Amino acid sequence: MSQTLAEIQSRMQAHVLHGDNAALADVVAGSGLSPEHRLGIYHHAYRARLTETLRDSFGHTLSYLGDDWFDHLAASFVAQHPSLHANLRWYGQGWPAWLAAELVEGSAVGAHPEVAELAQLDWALRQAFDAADAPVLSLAELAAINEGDWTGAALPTQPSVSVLTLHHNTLSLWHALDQDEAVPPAERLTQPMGVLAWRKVGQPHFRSVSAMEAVALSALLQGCSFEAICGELLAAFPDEDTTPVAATLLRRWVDDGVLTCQADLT
Amino acid sequence: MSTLHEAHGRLTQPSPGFGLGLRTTHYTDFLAAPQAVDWLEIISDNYMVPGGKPLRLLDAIRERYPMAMHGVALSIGSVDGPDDAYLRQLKQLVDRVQPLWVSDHLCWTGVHGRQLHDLMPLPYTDEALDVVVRHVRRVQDVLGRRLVLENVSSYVHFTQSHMSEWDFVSAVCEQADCLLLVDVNNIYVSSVNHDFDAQAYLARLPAHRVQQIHLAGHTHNGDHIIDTHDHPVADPVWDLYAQACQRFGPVATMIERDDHIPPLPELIAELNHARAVAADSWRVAA
Repeated sequence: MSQTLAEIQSRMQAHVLHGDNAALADVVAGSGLSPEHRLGIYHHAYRARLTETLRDSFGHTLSYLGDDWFDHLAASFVAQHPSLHANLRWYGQGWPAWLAAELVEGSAVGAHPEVAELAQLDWALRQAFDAADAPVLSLAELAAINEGDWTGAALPTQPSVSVLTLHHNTLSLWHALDQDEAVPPAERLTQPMGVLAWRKVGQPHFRSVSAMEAVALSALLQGCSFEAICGELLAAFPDEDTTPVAATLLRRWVDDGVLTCQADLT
Repeated sequence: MSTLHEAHGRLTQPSPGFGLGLRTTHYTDFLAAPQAVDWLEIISDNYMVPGGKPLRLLDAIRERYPMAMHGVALSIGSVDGPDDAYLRQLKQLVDRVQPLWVSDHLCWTGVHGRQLHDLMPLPYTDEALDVVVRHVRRVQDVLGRRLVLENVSSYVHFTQSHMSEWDFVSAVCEQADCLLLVDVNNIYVSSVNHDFDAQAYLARLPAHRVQQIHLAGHTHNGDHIIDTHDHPVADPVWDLYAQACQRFGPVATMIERDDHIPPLPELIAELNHARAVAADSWRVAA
């Protein structure tokens, strides 16, 4: 058995992650506890800690699934996804996408795409909670960009902003779970629904957006200027008078604190 | 006060008194009114986040209390050593908080880019000693101050170890010129799990390097103890704390509670018990 620190640590980590038994020979038995029992404490603690992190970050998903189903899925996820970041805050980033791929037709519980959408919303709000701080763009600051010629300038968004596209009545499920009310059956929407998530006055927020705002937000997040956003809206809704809509949306983003100001734009 | 400490050959800062670990459930208590707590210890990693409420409230509470920073993921004992990006973030937080001191654990938390999020014990070998000393020196160079290292509780003892834990801890402190956070509960937990004499452990530690003492509760499972931090401090740990006070004199003491966290007044009552135990022990030692 190799005795270097690197080898001892590799063997112990392999036991924690995969239950690999090579590390057993490194451990002294004593006080009535076998090496299996002793190493098992670390093996168990690792799973418990990551599962607890998922439970903490995905509270609504947990409420929807219930303890048993959530923990069962979390155990599979944890077994397949080692933690790669020193800070547990980041663990679970891949959980919504994993749920989307896992809970499909043919899985043990059948197709449940709404679960991944709930997890997406949980994660968006978790990220908004402690995303980087940035100054909120005021109407006066917007008007002052490029000495008043602001319509051609990119409009940076707050780091907390994310936009989701939901295909199910996930928001209804969310609100029912949030209010501890009877949860309606999951249903597919006739049209996808956009949801804007961000941090407003220190607290994570979200709201559904219209089809037009979804197009505009998509352009905004790609770094488009107001002019370009108007162009995108016109292309998507050629029969509508989109410019006043764009102006209303911009005003709302300013009021909601969705935009930030950057020194090089003011 | 620093003159008195230097006169005793101490390398530590004077004790700020009796503190608690800052936990989110007590934020409003600390912001609403002054509390009978001399200083607070924060888990550094909880504030190594991009922004938002955690940092805003940290700043507000920092204005009211001296703070020590206590990390859980430096991984000072892994062969890979502390991660550069982690160290940069830690330094940023140090600059923000201006802490009394900065501590982490004498352990490793993962290798090969994997994170185990646990305080993994080290084999007590010459090679591990060299690795830890090299990493501590690097961290101290980055932070521009002595690092404070805590002894961890453990459930395994390695066949490769050829020195005692207390000799290993002492050698790290002396060779790396760092300071010590003596977790009295951890010594007790490990003494049961590995069947050693906790008093002998205390007696061998370098008193002039002891910057801080941790107290915490644990879960006794009959043939072993798990370091859970979810109970009040146990009686045998209070006894060991009294001995630590006699040996180390006035050292900053705090209670760690991480689960089943009671209302703040309950923890302050427990902290007052620590004050009383310490005062009695110092009187005996004087």
